Amino acid sequence: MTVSRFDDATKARIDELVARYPNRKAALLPALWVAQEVYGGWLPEEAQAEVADYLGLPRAEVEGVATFYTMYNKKPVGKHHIEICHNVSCQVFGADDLIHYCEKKLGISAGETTPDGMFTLNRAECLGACCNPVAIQVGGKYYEDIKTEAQIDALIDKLRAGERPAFDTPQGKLPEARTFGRNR
Amino acid sequence: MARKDKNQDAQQQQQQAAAQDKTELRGAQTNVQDPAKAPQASEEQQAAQQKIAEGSASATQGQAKQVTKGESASDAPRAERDRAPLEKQDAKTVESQHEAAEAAGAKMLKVTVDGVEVEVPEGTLAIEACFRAGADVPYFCYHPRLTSVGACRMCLVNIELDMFGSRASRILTCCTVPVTDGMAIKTATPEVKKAQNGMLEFLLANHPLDCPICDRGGECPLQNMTIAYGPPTSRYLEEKRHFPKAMPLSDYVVLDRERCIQCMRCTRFCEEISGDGQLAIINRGSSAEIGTFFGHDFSSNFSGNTIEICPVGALTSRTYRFAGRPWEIKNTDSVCAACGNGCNIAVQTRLGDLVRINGRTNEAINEEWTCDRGKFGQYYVNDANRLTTPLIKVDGEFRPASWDEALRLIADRITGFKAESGPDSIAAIGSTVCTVEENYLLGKLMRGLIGTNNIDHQMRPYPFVPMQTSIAQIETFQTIVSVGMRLDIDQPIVYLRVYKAVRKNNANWVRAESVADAAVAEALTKGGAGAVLLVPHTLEPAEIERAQALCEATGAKFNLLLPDCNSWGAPRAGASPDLLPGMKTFDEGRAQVEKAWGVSLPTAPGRAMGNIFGACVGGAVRMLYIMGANPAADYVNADLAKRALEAAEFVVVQELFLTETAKAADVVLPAASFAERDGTLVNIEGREQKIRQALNPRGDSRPDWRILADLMGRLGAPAPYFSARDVYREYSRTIPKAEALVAA
Repeated sequence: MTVSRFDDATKARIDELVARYPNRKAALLPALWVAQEVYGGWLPEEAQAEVADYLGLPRAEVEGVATFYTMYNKKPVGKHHIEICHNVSCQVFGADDLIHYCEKKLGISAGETTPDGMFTLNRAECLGACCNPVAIQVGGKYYEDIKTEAQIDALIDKLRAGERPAFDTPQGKLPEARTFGRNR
Repeated sequence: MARKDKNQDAQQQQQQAAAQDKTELRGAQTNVQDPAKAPQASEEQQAAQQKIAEGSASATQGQAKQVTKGESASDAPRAERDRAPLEKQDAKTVESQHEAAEAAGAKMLKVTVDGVEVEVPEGTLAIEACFRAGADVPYFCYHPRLTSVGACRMCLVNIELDMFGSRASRILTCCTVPVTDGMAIKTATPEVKKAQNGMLEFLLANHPLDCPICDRGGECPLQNMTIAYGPPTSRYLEEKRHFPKAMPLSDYVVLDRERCIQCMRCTRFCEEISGDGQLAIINRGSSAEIGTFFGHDFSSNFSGNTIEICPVGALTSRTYRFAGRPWEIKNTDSVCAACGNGCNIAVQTRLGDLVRINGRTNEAINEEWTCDRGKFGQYYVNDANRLTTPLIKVDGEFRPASWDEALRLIADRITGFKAESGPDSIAAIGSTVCTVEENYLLGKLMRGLIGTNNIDHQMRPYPFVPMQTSIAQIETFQTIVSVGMRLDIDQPIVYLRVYKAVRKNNANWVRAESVADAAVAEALTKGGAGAVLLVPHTLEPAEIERAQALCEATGAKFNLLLPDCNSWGAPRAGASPDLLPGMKTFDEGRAQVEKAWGVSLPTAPGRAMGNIFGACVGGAVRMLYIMGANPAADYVNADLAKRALEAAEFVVVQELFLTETAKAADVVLPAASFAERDGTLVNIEGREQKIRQALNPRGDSRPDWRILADLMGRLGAPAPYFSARDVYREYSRTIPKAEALVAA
């Protein structure tokens, strides 16, 4: 294995997660979230191996879990990982059009990363924000009630400028795992 | 029930069945109204059905079975399917597990399967009750030694049981349903058959059906079940999923993901039996596949077992690949010669070559598993470099010779050395990989004919301390301490028991580097009589003594694990300077052996291994007779062994290959491998087991016992042995009979 990227703070975070469950194996999912954050938004082989070794699980089992869940990224993602919900509510409010617009604007198809490594665009299954369609998630942060292409333009411009645009909604209060993205 | 069938009979049967179902439904409804009457009602109903079917209500159990068969026959004519060996083995395993549970006092439940009533212990799965009743249930993912997952959905049957106060009947996977008292299982109703048929269609949707080029063809559960239960055609006309075929997972195992039906037998084996978890399901849904961590080597020492339990041709053996078809293969029941555990194996041969080794069930030793060393490590039998003719060294070069020439030379030299400098100028080295018979004959040659006690077999000194538990008992201990070895490599089957104890009984397994480690004493003290210490023979004798003392002090069991397939057989056969056959000292055994052999045994004390080599260098021992051993590489002081081989005037070696020791010999005799001879091996527990000849010896090689018998004949002693069994019979006469057959 290459050099460990789990520093003491990371290990402390995983230890805290482990302490919530009856055994170490149960902390696998949140530990993978931590690893995904530490390894820059995705889970390379080294990340999965490190989680497996730290939790004392067979490595293959960790890969099995990581590949089972689509929200663990198995490929490198751009600096901003844009996921646009395309399930019923959002679709009714034009999610598909917005996705196509995004694809055109960024010059990539959904599932790809821009050559400059700034953006990864993905279709997402229901983000649980059906009250405010269309919902977009960027690196764990929600942007809701996006209906127009102008809003997309504004969002992407601000992301490109390195700002965190203020589209925050009450849905921003999310389980701890989701907030990992905020710390970046 | 509205399926259109061309066969009119089938339609009629379905109507009948539908009528039956309705009555059942009515029965269920009355049950709901009055739960107390439920069992009675269903009994009456069953009796009524039996009356209709056979016109006789007074049915004993045996008759009841016939009745059911009659019923199912009228439902759908189906010939009794010939069960595959794997299925028979699973059913047998279940039976032995149930017998063990019953003996342990488990509560017995009554279950009816197709009208046959069986009693099974509590906790039994419905599929196992079906096995016990002799019912035919198709299955892929179920395995009697693995936990149930219900992954393949093939074992759907109709299960009628009392649940939440009413009696209900459902189509359920019987491998995931534990039996309840009064449960009624039907395995052959049209409804069940339709379900099973549909499941097979699903399983075959993505299966490539490349049976003609698949190694599993001919012994494939999927193939068998498809013939017995499956639809002749598929409605799935779309593109099947494709993967690159034949992806090697390791040097031994090849994976074909297209054939895989995701039954998870292999992943469960890795998780539950071998404990290394090297295989897992990667991805999900329709793209799920078996794989190792990022394609790394499947390095488990037990990887070969996944090939055997794979119910399709997804995991196949690289060594057996395209080497033969199951129906062309000759199967010989034998015992593994790779280590001392003594796994029962099936040696499978084709056209004079060893093609495959499979595990054979022995609940006392290997259950049904083998390690990779046993399964893949014994192809040396086929090696082109095997010795095929006797070799005699002339001017430093070996030249091929006839057996007559070689044996005459050896006999002449033995007679010569004996006459010149006495019998003690000759020494022999027995073998921990040759059989009891062969070591016995070597002992007889040295003691009875030549008249010396210079015979030993130990490549390093270790005491002969029998194991205090059997291999199977290890899994019952709460504390297991192993010292200074990689159990899964050095003692694979012992490791499987240890892991079973860890997994099933939550035992504490302490691995230590040395007996002096504080953890060892601590664990043994804490464990007391519930602890067992596993020690390799490679420890220094002082360390072993220390370990023994520690066990005596704490009440823990002490198990010294010897390395080779006949490490116990060699001393038992008398290939030791101080021990006569049966591991008797001279005081104990002299009279018996002298009576049996009709000679008086030598009185001078024999030399042990180090002493033999020392005496070779010093000149006191002039001739070495080495059978199936390679001291130049294996002796603890290999340097001394090499010098001794150089110094000895005449060295005879019986070997399979031109080993380092054989190269130093003056005469090399080609010996037969374990697959080419009969004989007896004694495993680490002291259990005697027979190996059987599966192949003819390569070239002009001969079994070691035959070589020794010929030599004895040439030395003027009668050697009336026509088979290894003759030798064993004589061996068992030299020791009290009861001891010859008993396992320690």
